Amino acid sequence: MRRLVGILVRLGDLTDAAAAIVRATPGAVRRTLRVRRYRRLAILVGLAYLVVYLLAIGDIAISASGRYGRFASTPSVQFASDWMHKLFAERAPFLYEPIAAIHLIPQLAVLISVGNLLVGSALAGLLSLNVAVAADGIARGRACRRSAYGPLLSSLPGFLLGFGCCVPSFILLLGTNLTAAILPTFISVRSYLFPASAFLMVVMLAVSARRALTAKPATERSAMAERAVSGRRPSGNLAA
Amino acid sequence: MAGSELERTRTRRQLLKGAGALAALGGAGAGALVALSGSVSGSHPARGLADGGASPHAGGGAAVSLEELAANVVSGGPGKDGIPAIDRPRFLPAADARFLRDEDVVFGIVYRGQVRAYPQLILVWHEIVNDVFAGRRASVTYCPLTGSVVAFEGRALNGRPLTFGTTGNLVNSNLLMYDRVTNSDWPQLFGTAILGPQTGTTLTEVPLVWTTWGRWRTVHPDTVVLSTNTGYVRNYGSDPYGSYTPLGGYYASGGPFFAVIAHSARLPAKEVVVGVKAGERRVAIRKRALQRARVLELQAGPKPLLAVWDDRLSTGRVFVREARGRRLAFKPGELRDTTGSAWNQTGSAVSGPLTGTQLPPADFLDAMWFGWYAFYPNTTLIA
Repeated sequence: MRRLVGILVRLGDLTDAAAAIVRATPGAVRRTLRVRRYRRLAILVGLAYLVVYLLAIGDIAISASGRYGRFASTPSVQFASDWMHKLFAERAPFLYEPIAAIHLIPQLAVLISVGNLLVGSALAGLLSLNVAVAADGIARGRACRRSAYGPLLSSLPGFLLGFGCCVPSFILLLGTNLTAAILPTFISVRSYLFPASAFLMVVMLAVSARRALTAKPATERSAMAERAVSGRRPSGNLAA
Repeated sequence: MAGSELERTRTRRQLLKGAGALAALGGAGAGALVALSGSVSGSHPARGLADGGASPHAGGGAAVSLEELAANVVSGGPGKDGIPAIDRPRFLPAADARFLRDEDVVFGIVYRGQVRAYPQLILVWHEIVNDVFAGRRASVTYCPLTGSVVAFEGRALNGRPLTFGTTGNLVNSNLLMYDRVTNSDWPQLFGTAILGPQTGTTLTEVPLVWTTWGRWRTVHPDTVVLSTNTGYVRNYGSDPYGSYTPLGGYYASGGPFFAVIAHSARLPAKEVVVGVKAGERRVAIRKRALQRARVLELQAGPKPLLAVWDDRLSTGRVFVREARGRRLAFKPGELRDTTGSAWNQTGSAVSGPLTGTQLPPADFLDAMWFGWYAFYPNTTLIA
């Protein structure tokens, strides 16, 4: 019984620590984004992820042979009929009906789906913040480069959300034999991919933010070292 | 004293927090487990009926029951109507269908005086077109996974016209449709409801051929063709599974993506056969066998049948071999019967005593061998 109480108390402490990290995260993110180079990095990573995400789910399609030009005049913008009612019509879990198609050149088709853009932007936003905060942490010497891999890995499930028709797009790339082996399992977990991806990236962001927040700027660290050598006590709370 | 009281209060608070966190974690974990186990138990194991091909012409196994099919329904991934049927199809004259190339696959139908073509490159994104032919409803359906295309009459049910949507589920890797009147579930290749109030009811098929656009419009210059203006936006022109011209990707080789109840190695899984439903009997005709023979008399089911290779459309057709109340006999390989009447490839007598007579169509469809066999392991194969 005492052991159980001990475990529960420890769990309570951990909950407090987690709450403190979550409370500290917005501040750390704001501090990172105040720096121009991290802001740029976040925008770049976010846009790149969004484009790759839309390619993975088929909302951006590229054809070297220009086959889309046969089926739609270029340039053109085509709207789905009754598009207001299709704004958030779900085709599969976290995959939404496109309401417009843009054909600028025969080799490129871009489908506009509000739901897909929101899901993609949410993942892209989380990844970009993760990368920017991790980069900040690395620059402050409080995190190693490996800390950026976690968010990147967490963002991967988002790419698996697309459906060609009855079958997930990425699975079609694997060939029929592999597909038959993994398809039933994949379909049963597919609806958890987006929440899992988002949750993991939020956790990674909180961890990175804590590291970045408790870090000392490189210049400050050098000053501390100099003061230590000269025997003077550093001023202010610089504890990690 | 005050310090120890404070410590006890803190311990109690932390204990409650810990228990709360544990309960929250437990709840989420259990939810995920229930969902996962539900999806696994939902996919019943196939009975593993296999036919190695020792006997090339005999039916391999017993017929599959409705219950067995209902127990083998699996999710294909998309939700209900996630693959949207086309409910207000628009058509273009052949001359205006500049988006089609001669080699593109189309499904051609001549029904109630209407001649229409449905491009495979559009149907791969919709699978069902709920259409109207001179006032009567019919639905053209296509399942890319089993390569099967079937048109069904949409006779009114409970006073409402029968139209179909996609359930997002599959059985034997085949499209499982639902009707919008009773919400019963119908495997497209099977044509009989396996779940819901209509269980056991069979739909009436309308003959449809699988051909190419160039061949179809040459034979039917008056045809209209389904427009890409479907009400939805999709990447028309691309096929997520592969290609029919040239044959590639999923359509060319390998096995089915989803589990099937029965499988046979007598033909390559993706080879397209002409499947014939004759009463309780099922016959699969290898297309190259029909092309070679040109005319095949079939003795299957309650009525005599005639399979004909239509070389203009490069497709097979099957008719009931009866006219004016009498059973006809055809000379081997010839579209000429023993009364001296000559027939064309669409089953019309063009000369002789039966001139002007039309042979009634039988129930037949094109499908990949694995899909046909999975539903009809008792099929006879003409190879």
